[in-house]
Amino acid sequence: MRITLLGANHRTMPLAMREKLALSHKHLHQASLQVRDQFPHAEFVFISTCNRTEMYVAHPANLPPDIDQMRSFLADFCEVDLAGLTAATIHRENEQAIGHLFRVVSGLESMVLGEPQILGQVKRAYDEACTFNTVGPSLHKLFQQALTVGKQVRNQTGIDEGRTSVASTAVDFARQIFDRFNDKTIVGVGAGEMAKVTLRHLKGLEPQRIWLVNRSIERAQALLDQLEISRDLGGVRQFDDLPQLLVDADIIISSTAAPHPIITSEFLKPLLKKRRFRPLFLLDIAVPRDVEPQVGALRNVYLYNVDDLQQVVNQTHHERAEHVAQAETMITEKVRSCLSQIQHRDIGHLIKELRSKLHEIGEQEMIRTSNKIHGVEGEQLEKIIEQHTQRVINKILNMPLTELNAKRSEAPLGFYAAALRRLFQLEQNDDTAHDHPLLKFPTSPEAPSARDEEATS
Amino acid sequence: MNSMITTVWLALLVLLGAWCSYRKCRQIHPRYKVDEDDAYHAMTDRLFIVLTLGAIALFLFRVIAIHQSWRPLTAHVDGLTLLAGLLCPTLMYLEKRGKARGLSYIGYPGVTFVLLWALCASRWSFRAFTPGDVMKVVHLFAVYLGALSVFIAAIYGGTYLTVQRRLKNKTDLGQAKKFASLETLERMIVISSAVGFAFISLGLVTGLISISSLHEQRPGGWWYEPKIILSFCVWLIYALLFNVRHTTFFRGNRAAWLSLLGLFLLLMTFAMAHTFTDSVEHSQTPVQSAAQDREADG
Repeated sequence: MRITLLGANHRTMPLAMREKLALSHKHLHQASLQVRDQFPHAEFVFISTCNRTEMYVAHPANLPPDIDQMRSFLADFCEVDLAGLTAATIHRENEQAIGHLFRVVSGLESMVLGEPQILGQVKRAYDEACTFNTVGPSLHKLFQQALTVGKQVRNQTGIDEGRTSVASTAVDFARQIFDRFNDKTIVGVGAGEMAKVTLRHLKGLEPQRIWLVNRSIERAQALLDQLEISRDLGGVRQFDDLPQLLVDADIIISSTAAPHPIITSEFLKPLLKKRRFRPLFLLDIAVPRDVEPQVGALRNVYLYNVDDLQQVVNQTHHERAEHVAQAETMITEKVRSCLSQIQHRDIGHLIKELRSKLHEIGEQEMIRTSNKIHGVEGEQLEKIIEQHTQRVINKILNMPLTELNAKRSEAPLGFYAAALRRLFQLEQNDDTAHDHPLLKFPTSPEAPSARDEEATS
Repeated sequence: MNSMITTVWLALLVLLGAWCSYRKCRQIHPRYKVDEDDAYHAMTDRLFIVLTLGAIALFLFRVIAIHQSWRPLTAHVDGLTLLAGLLCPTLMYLEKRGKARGLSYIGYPGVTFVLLWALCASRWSFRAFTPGDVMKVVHLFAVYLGALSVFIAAIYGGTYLTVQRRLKNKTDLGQAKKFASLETLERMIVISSAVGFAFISLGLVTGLISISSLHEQRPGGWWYEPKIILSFCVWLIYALLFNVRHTTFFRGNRAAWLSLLGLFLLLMTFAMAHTFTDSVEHSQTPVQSAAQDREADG
């Protein structure tokens, strides 16, 4: 089996074109049905995420689809220009294709290095392909190994450790200060895009209350609606309520467009006693800053701004990058092992087919001979057996030798000659002593012809 | 002979404790990249289990092989060995609880300190307790179990200050998740202090009863002895910590500092009682009593 990959990702293709290639569940089903009809001997798995669309195919080397057929299929199905698709896609074969898949599931090919979602996405793609019945033994083996490798790389290296977005880092800090959130109040000051993203993450902590303070009540309400925050959980408050909210709040996210700080040390200090010195987590994601830096020095007040959070994100990226080499080493070993297992499975299958074929020939000849030997004895019998043996040998050799004579194979004839010599342990003549070992193509043009003559004679 | 076995045993445990502490501290030091090494973690944990079993075995050895008495605590070294033997499994249990993670970074050096002190108490400042009745035994157990709670509260306090310092100074923020949240740590300080307060109260009451029955043997007032004054101070601190939720002035890092101050005063009380002073309870001089007790130890 030959493993082929055709794919496009965020590095090779612009977003506008990736959008066209993105396949929904429904499209995947259609594509799977089409591909199964078009190439019945091949196995297929489609991976389609926001950053990549990849098509993994396992097919016998002498059967379709070849890479051009794969490109044409994808271009037709997704209705994109074939020339544009050809220029923006990557094509990998066998070891490289397996290596690519292993790198993808390990997060090494992701936009955010080591991100964990891709593992689930690949698993989903594989499960869908199983449902659509487009996976055979080779791709089963490949994808099962890939999912295992993805987990191993994450477990044995630190490639997925740490937070990679400002909002998720903020959640980590909140968890570092507070143990539980069902008795906590979150207050958002301002209704910008950053506040939306951060509040969405913090909402996942299931706080007791979420209040939103904004000069424009309508905009704040729209944001609450977008975040699906019910009236039982929270609501919109006037800017004048801010002092009281500073007393009630445990977490404050500030992201207004105010040119000057709206929470100063002088403003907050008298409120600390009213708060009974409960810890206050202040997240200032506004630029220019909404919270005076001196506020961070107050007792039980923990102030972070965008730079502080970004510093952690950068640190995470840096630490993850240090684990890449370790992950690559692991993947290289696993690729070799996986390829070897797939090839061994293929060889096993081939031997089974060969045995079956030879048995068929043997049985046919046995029937023919048994009819002749009825009542025959002595020399006549020996002659019949000799003829029988000769016919069996001729029949077995007929097909391969005809193929060799036809000279229509993809590989040079020298390759087959070397393979035959190796497989049947034929003696090597002096004039062909420089022949390459099995699976290596001859370097001189004369050598194949010499071997061809020998093999076909 | 038995005294020598105890000393050597304690010396080995101190070395093991120091090695565990070193390995543990490397895990949070940004310069060392042992954080992701599971085998390293597992080995450190196994070494600490050996340390725990060693401390418990030493206590049992002293009770069964040396004292052969219904009073297991006959010297300060027994109390400290008991303290270490209880502190180790408690730390392991708390560390395994997801919400109390990160205690061992300060806990392991804490255990090593107790063992080192026990080593000193076994070799250089050995002093046996005066034999007493049931009240005395209850007093000693209450004091050492109170000390256990005080140690744990202080370990939580130290961890709290470490985490808070990192969060405030914004240093090593990526490593902060290795520790429990500040809210959990504060709550555990209060719980440990509450348990400590109960034991210290019991120890104080039983101790006062014991001392008051002896005060006629010694001229002058017994109540202004440094040991008794310090004991009261410790008791007051833990009374305060026990109620820190209501006295909000002491919330947060102040509670953590109070837990450390409480431990310091308790250590001073122990030092007063067992090393430096000649109190009512320990009427013999250290040299006299050490000679007698080593003789008894064989």
